[in-house]
Amino acid sequence: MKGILKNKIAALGDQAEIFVFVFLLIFIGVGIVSGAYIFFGKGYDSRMSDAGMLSGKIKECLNYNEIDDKLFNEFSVRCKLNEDILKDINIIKVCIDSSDCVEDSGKFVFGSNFPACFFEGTKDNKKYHRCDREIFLKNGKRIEIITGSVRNSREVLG
Amino acid sequence: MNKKAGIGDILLDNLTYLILLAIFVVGIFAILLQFENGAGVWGDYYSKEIGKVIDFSNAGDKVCLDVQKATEIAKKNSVKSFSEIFRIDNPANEVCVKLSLGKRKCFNYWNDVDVVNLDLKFGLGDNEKNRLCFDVVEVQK
Repeated sequence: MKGILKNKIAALGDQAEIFVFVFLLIFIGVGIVSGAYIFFGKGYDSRMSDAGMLSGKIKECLNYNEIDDKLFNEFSVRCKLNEDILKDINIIKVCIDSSDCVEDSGKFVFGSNFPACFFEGTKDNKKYHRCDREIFLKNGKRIEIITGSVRNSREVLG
Repeated sequence: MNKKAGIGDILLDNLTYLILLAIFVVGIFAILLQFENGAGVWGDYYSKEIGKVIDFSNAGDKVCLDVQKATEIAKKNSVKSFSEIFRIDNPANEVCVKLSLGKRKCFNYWNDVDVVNLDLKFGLGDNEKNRLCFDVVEVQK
């Protein structure tokens, strides 16, 4: 009886040893991986500069063209924007003489969820748009452009 | 004879540990492989920067960019030919950068233009850098 009890205690010791070993591996692994991440950084977040560039491009387009309904009906063609690319990664809103462009229906709207773009809490979350706001005057009208971007690169095998 | 059996027993006793250790080494190696000389990070950077340059270009522009770092990394990672490093797919509005074997980073540009005459020019002197040059033109249907 004593012998069996001793064996059970020994077996328990063996099992406990595995936990120590696994813990050690996890500890070392986390150290190596976090070291690599700290060294190489967490990637290059270009959402803000993307949004700024898009609003700049739209501003250039609005300055260059007569602002009327025809322009907004053919917006992507006239401003040389590829809608197929924009539809999943960018949001655009153009307002004219608006007091609150984020909430207003806007003269031209592409995409949705504009209020979320200026939330402080979403800045570090790459799933949310980072946004840019451009305001300028043309022919006495106050034009406001809001653009947002979640554009990121993707890895392809080959 | 007994000694040989003893070695076998020791290995068998520690088989669980050996398997765990092998899984650990393979896992860590797979994670660290993603960083290969920063190929992932630099591939991401170059694909985004080239894409953004195309975005703010207009038809008729001629562009030359310093890509010295990218070519150095690709060479270290045994990317066979330099023509493989940068690829632009006009119908898909996509620029891809390959700095390590088997993987490339791709980035879409929304500017409705085409990119032609993609050419990697090698710097010859000490101060000369490798440059990627291309022309931006209207969409060619």
